[in-house]
Amino acid sequence: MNKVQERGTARHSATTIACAAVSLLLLSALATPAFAHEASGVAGGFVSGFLHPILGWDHVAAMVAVGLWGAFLGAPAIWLLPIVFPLVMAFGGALGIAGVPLPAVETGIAASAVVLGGMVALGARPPLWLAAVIVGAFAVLHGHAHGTELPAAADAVAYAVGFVTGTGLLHLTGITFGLATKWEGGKVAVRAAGGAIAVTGLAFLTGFA
Amino acid sequence: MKALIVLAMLLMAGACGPAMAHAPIKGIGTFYNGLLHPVLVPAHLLVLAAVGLLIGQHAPRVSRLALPAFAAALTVTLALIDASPGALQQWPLLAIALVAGLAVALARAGSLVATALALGAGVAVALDSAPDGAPDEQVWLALSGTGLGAALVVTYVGGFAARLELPWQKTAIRAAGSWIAASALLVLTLDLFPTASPPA
Repeated sequence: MNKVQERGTARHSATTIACAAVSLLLLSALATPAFAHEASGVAGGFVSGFLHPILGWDHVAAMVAVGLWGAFLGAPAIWLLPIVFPLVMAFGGALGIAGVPLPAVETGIAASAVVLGGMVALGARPPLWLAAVIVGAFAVLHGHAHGTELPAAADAVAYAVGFVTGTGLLHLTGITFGLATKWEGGKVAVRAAGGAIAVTGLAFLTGFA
Repeated sequence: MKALIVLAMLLMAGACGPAMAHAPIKGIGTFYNGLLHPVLVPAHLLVLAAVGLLIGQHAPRVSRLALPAFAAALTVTLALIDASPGALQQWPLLAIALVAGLAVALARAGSLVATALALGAGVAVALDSAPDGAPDEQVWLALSGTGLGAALVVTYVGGFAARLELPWQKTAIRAAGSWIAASALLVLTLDLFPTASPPA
């Protein structure tokens, strides 16, 4: 197999996995609680952790925007993102669990959708370090908000795994959509999505949503 | 290396507490309950997956030493707890998962570090696997199942990771390590600060 074929196969496989991730995310969002079985213990902890970032629209908007921006920034940002973001977010979560207060967490979360969505809408390509600082700061705020809710979980380990997986799949959704930037029409669609996220964030920030 | 092993054993022995109940599944027998134990306890699965990924990510350089070390640590410790059952607190498992997950995310680990983590994982999982509700004469059967189950998880995860060679697949392994480390960090903090944060 030559390099062009290998690259084509790799791209095809990546697209297949990304599509599967998006499908899983959509299915989980459509799923309703199974009343026949009590959602407790490990399964209940995982499901509540998995759904937590998905059912909060402010989190969804920001996480998808991070993925979209990563796709705009290209390599290596697009690949560093799913590796570094969960760790920084967990650091923020640890601060929340430890009871370390951070100022204006909810405002910061709403602002994250405005800023990150705005970056996508503008097609901004700052240096990698600057993008990392912006995304990292918001990751800490999102993690802090999630961390304060961790103690209520039925099974803390299962909740944490579900929560991190749900967040990671939201990034993957953004990255997958962001792959459309390879085409001119796709670039317009992705920037429009960024604009929509920024407007949604503005609605959260001003109390309209 | 020996000093590291002794230190790890002492730390874990100090963290041992009374056996907490992992509810057995009725009707599948003692052996299969033991076999499923590492898969049904999230902290065990987390640490086994992290060590499996670490071994597979750097195979065969690391797996030659780390895999037998894991199997040996697991077997010896399971044999010891057959005589003196107990249970480990959660934090040593999570601490090993955190370090192993970080090593996978960074994609950098020497043979010595990976072997030490594999040894620690084998000892920690075994110490926390004392069966609840099994008749005394069948404890060895449950522990045999647990040993096999834990070894299978590490071998399968490691074997799977070792087969992934394309750049995006290697990134996926690193992302999985990062997710494991992030999950472990959250729960580890929760263990250290159980009442600091108000419930949602």
